[in-house]
Parts: sequence; structure tokens; C-alpha cells
Amino acid sequence: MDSNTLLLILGSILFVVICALVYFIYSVATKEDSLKALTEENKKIVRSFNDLDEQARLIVRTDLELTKAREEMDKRLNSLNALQRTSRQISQALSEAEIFQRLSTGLFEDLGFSRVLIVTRAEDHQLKIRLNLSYKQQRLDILLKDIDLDDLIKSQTHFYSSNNTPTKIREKIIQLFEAEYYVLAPVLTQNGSLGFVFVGNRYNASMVTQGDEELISILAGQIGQSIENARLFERVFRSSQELELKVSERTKQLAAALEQVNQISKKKSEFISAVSHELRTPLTSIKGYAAILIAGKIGELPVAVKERLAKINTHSDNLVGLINNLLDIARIESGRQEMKFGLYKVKTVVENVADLLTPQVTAKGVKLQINLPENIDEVYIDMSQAERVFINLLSNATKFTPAQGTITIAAAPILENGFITFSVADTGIGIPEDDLKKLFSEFFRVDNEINQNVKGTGLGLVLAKNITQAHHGKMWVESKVGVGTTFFFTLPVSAEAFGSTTIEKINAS
Amino acid sequence: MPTSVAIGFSQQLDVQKAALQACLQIKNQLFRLDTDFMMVFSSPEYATKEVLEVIGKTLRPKRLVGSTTGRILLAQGATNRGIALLAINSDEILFGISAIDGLDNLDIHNLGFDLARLSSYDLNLTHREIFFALSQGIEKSCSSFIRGAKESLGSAFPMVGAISSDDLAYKNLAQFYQDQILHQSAIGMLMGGSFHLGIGLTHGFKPLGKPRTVTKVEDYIIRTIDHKPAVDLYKHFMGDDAKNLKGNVMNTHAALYPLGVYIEESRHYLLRNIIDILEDGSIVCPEGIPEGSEVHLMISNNEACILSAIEAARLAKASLAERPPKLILVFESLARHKILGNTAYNEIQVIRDTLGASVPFIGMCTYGEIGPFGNIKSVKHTYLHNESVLVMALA
Repeated sequence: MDSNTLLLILGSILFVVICALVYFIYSVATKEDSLKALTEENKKIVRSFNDLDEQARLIVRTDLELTKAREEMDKRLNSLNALQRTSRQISQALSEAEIFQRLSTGLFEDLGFSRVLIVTRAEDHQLKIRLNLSYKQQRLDILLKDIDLDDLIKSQTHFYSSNNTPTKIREKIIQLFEAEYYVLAPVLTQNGSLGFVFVGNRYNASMVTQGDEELISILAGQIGQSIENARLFERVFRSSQELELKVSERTKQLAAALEQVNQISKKKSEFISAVSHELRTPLTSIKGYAAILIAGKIGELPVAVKERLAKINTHSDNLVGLINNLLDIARIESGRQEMKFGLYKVKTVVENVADLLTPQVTAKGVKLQINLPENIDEVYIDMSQAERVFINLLSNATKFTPAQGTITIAAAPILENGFITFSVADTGIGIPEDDLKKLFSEFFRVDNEINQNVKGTGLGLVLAKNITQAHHGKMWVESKVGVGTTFFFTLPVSAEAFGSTTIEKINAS
Repeated sequence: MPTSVAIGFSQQLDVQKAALQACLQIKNQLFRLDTDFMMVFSSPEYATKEVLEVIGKTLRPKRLVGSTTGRILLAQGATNRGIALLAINSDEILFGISAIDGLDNLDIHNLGFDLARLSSYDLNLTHREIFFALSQGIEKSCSSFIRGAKESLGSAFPMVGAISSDDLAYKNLAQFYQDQILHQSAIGMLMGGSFHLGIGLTHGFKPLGKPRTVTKVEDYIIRTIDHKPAVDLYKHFMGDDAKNLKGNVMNTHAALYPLGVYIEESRHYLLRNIIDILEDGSIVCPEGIPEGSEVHLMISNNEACILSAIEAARLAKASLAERPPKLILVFESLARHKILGNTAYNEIQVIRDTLGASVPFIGMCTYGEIGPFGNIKSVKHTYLHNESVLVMALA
């Protein structure tokens, strides 16, 4: 191999090496660019991931806040619904037992509490379990005998919750109630704490929130208020029952007394009736003999004797009148007076009486007026007896009305019960108020100048009232001294009206 | 004899009277002296031997299973107190049941296998349809339990279940098995015969923020996420509210934001509640999450929950292919009720509206739901879920 060939070979090798070197340098330079690009891309991806993570963090925190708000809102909503429902129910309860019957454990379960205990002090000061969820009798026995709990109830004025209780009390509550998460609220009344409402959970299955604390406190207050109301109602109810019992007993006593009085009254009437009959027979003889003597049938008598005999006759007449009145009263009171009821024209009845008494009234210089409404037609009465009422009242009015005075017979429109109210009014001297109460008592006569001069028995008004009552009507009087007196009495317009009303009813009214 | 279904419920404070009242309601519907199968859901205070004695004497159930729950689901709403009974009398549907207690000392995988095997013996039928599990204690290693059960029943065998719940105390959990009250136990129930069961399981949660990686796990305790204390994830998102996480985490707002573990094979997010936060910032979950898993903070709202319930009911209905359901049984996360709040009833309502308002409805709230995500076709991907709703319709 010559040197030229060798040089050519070496030159070729050198060329190849240089080319390879150039290619190597080129390719290294190109890869470095790709690597740089890849590194940049990688950085971008990492940055994106980190951004994604930051966004996720934001999402989680927002989600947490929303979840907390929703949980609290859910709980508050539940609580408010439950509180409203429960408050409405217990506020309508009329007894303590009913309050707690209406309180259901479901309310507290809805709020997420698995342990519930409501204890209140009864009126006998004993602690009573009112509502219990999850506590066994053994635990309740321990609870109720615990002195610390008793002290706690007496002194508690605000709620304790697992969020705010001082450590010592908290430990005691956890030990007693076996619940780490709780609200213990006093049942407060005006007289202090009456018991407690306890709700809780052994574990933090449902955390106690501010809403729970508020709700249980409000509910405990509501229970206290309802207990006070129920106790007040019970006391009022008991008093009312006692009063009713007393009234009932007293009514029985009065009825018995009334029966006794009626019996006595009947015996008295019977006695008066018997005595009157016995008196009337000899009195008739006395009058007869006096009349014979006055007439001179057994010889002329001296004037002085005649005068005496005339007085005997007059007094005998008065006595007969008195006995007749007594007999009438006795008959009516004992129900032995036979009444002959019928329908009579009001106008006729009143005018008959007026005609009878007009001479006396006119003679005294008194004016007699009659005011009867147009629509009044008939009354259902015993004509002769009813006339006696009118006559009695008109006679009295005439007696006590001075000259130039007026006597008015009037009638008011028919009442709903089918009775007409008649009135006999005068412009006489009037009756003092104290005497008005005694006016219808037997033998009572108002102490005035006229009565002192005019004889009377004090039986006329009693008889008039008895006759009115025998018509199932009533009689009363209004008077003013120096102005005048008005007597009122009612009479039935029909047999139906008479039949639908009894004497007892009228008296009661 | 055709299939008869009856539901009884009582809230009486006296637990025995409550049991009797619920039993009498059933007796009035079934008109039978004894009962083929009963399922009992009760709040913790009703989990007593006396209650089971009353049920035993009144309805004479041949097979009885049940669990305590923090909320009983009924057609008329959800309640945290009472006892609900489901009774089924049927010649078409047969039941095999079993129970194993003392779970603390047992291998959970073997437990699943044994429970399924014992239930098979009791059923004594080749035509098996679905396996139910009710338990307290399997949740910490539920995937092992599921694997164990499937080893016995077949890898494509449908399986559902629920973790017992209580009033968020985690101290009052119990399971009912025949005339016994059990604790830390697993109850198995194998159903066979001639019937159709539709299943729908959904949750309605969406991932939030960037994906994170679980970097250290010890059993069911997540020590670190992205090499930081696991609780920092919650602190990052919740700020000051994260202070309240300690103690009963299920009751804090953390329950609204479960962890979502992305499952590649079924392409969905499996939810995990956090049930406790440890002093070192570790998070305790019902079941462990594998190291290296991609996790997200998950979020949902009322509307999404309701929509997911409708979807679950639709999935169950679709599986029935126009057959009218005779019973709706629901297992739902107790934490989910935190989101639903006052509107929890709406979820029950939409499920009933979808599957039939007149169909007997019963269910319980759980601390974990076992089932395939979606419908029964996804049986291979059966998990323990949190924050989900499992709707089952029997036809």
C-alpha cells in the first residue's frame, strides 16, 4: 500500500469521524432542547395539579362551611317545629299528668338525643319521673336518691350543657346520667326550680349545639309554665268542686228547711182555718143577738146600751172580715181554695173594679185613670179572686192618696212568657224603704198617721199576693216617700201560659 | 308454597314488648305458626337474649340471623331506635346459615372459607345463588375474608354483606344467630333455590385534588401519604377543622370526605372511611390500603348521593329483567347519613320509587358494605366498601 492510499484511507476515516462528531454534537444539542421542553411541560403539569389541589382545598372548605350551616339549619328547623308542636300540645293540658302524656320521646329522638329524662317535684314534694328514654329502673332509683341531684334541682336557675358546665358538676352529671354530651335545663316556676329536663347522648353521635341548648331551655320553661297553669287550674277546679258540693249540701239543707216550713205553714193554715171556723160560729151568734137587741125585738133599750151594741156589731163585722181574710189566706196557702179559671176581657175586669170603687175615690177628690194598651184582650183568671187583688190595691191607693191626687190602673204589653203586668199607681204618701221589705208579711202595717187612724188587719196585701201566686203570677212594689207607690202584679193571658209556669219557677226568678 | 315476606317493627321502650309487637305484626301478615327464615336489625339496646327468646317463642324461626345497627331503614323512614324483623316463608328460596365467633384469634382468610363451607352444609343444596355475611371484626382484613369465602364457593360466586354498626360508639355491636347474641363474630348466610336477586352498589363520590400515593402502611393503619403523616392530607384540605378529627372521627366532618383508592382493574374508586387518627398522625381505616396505592380525597353532596341511590336501585332492577321484586333489602353506610341529614328519607323514597313503592322494604346502616361495585356482573371485584349504598332486590 503506497503512502497516498494510506493518506486517502486516513483522510476518509478522519472525515467519517468528523462527520460523526458533527452529528453527535448536533443530536446532543437537539435532545437538550426536547428535554428542556419536556421539563417545561412537566412543570406546567405539576403547577396545574397544585392549582387543582388548591381549588379542591377551597371546595372542601366551602363545602364544610355549607355542611355545618345546613346541619345547624336542619337541626334548628327540626327543633323549632318540634318546639312549636310540643308547646301547643302541652299548653292545652289541664293536668300535670296530661302535660307529660302529650310530651313524646319522639320529639327528643328527632333532635338526635338517645337519652331523655324529665323529673319534676309533685305537689307532695316527691320527685317523679315524668318521661324516660333509655334509662333502666335501677339507674332511675340511683338518680332519684342522689342527694347532689336533689341539691342541683333546688339550686339550678340556668341550663348546663356539655359545652359549658364547670368540670366538677360536669363529672357529676356524666356519672349520674351516663351521657357525655347533654343539656340539663331546670323546670322553673315562680317558686323556683321544680325539676329538670335532661337530654343527652353517651357518645358524640350528635353534638350538642347552641340551638339544642336554647330549645331545651325554652321547652323546660314551657313545661314549668304549663305545670303552674295546670296546678292553678286543678286548684280552681277543686275549689269549684268543693263549692259545688257545699252549694249542693246547703241546697239540700234549705230544701229540707223549706219543706219543714211548708209543713209548719200548712199546719198553721190548717190551725187558722180550724180556729177561724170555730170563731165564726159564735161570732155570728153574737152579731145575731146584738142585731136583735138593737132592733128592740126584746124591748126598747137605753141609748147608751144601743150605742154599745152598735160598737159590738161594728167590731164583730171587723172580726168577721179578719177571719174571712185569714180563712182565704189559709185556703190559698194550703191549696184548698178552689179556683175557677176562665178567659175574661181585661177591660171588663178593670172597669168592673173601677166602677165599684169610683164613688169612694171621687168622694175623696182623687182622680182615677185607666191606661190599657190596645192589643190586650183577655186574661186567664179566677174572676172573683182577681177582682179581690184589684180591689185590695185600689182600696189601699185610695186610702193613702190625698185629695187632688191620682190613681192609675195600667197594664204593660204581654211578656214573652204569656203574662200581663198590671200596675196600680198612686201619688200618695209613699212607703219608707225599710218597710217595703216587710210589706207582704202577715199582719204588717206601715207605721204612719193614716194607718193609725184607719183600722186594718195587715192581711190584705198578703192575700192579694197569694191570689196572684195562685195564678202563677208574681207581685212586687216600688215606692218613694212623698211621691207615691206602684204595685205590680202579673196574670196569665192563656191556659198555656198558666200551665207553662209554676209557682216555684216564678219564685226562683 | 309461594314466597311470603313480612316485616315487623317496634320502638316500644320495653325491649321484650317491642319484640313481641314486631312479631305479632309479622304473624298477622304470614298466618303461620313457624317461620322459615328471619333477619333481625335492631338498635344496640334491643340486642338482648330475652328479645331472641320472645322471637323464638312467637315466630319459631328455623333460621335466624341479624345485626345491631345505628339506623334501621324502613319504608316509613330511618330510625336510630327500635327493632325490625324480616320474615320469609318459602319453598322456592332455601337458606343455609352459620356463625363463627371469637374472631380476634382467627385467621380471617380461613374464617371466610369455613363460614362459606358451613353455610353450604346447612343449605345442603347444589343450586346456590348468593352468600351474605354479617360481621363485626372481618373489616380489618375483609379482602382476605372475601378470598377465603370465594375459595369455598367459587371465584365468581356473588357475595354481599354488612359490617355491624351501633350508635357510633363502636362498643355496642352485636350479631344475632339463632337464639344467641354474638360479639366479634361473622354470620354467614347462603341462599339457594329458585329465585332472582338483583344487586346495585354505588357511592356517588368524586375525587378531589391531585392524586397522592400511600407510602407506608401497617395492617389497616396508613402511616404516611406522600411520605408525610397521613393526617396531613386532611389538614391540608380542612384547615382548622382538622383539629377535631381525633376521637370519634366518624362523627366529625371527616366522614364527609373519605379516601378514594383507585382500583385499576374495575376502574373505580373504592372508598375508605377514616375511623381514627393516631397521635403520630396515622390514619386508621376499616381495612388496609396497599402501599403504593393512588388515593384521593373524595367528595359528594346530597344530590349526588340521591342520584347514586337511584342508580343502585336501577342496577338491581335491571338484573331482575322485569320480574317484580318481592323484597328490597338495603345495606347503607351510616356515615352517608351525615351527608343526607334531614333528607335521608328521600334516599329510601327514590329506591322504593324505582323498585316499587308497595314492595316490602327493610335495611340497616353499616360500618362497611360488602359487594361487587356496580351490579352482580362484577362479582369478581367484590370489596368492602364505605360510604356506599347496596340495594338488593329479591324476585
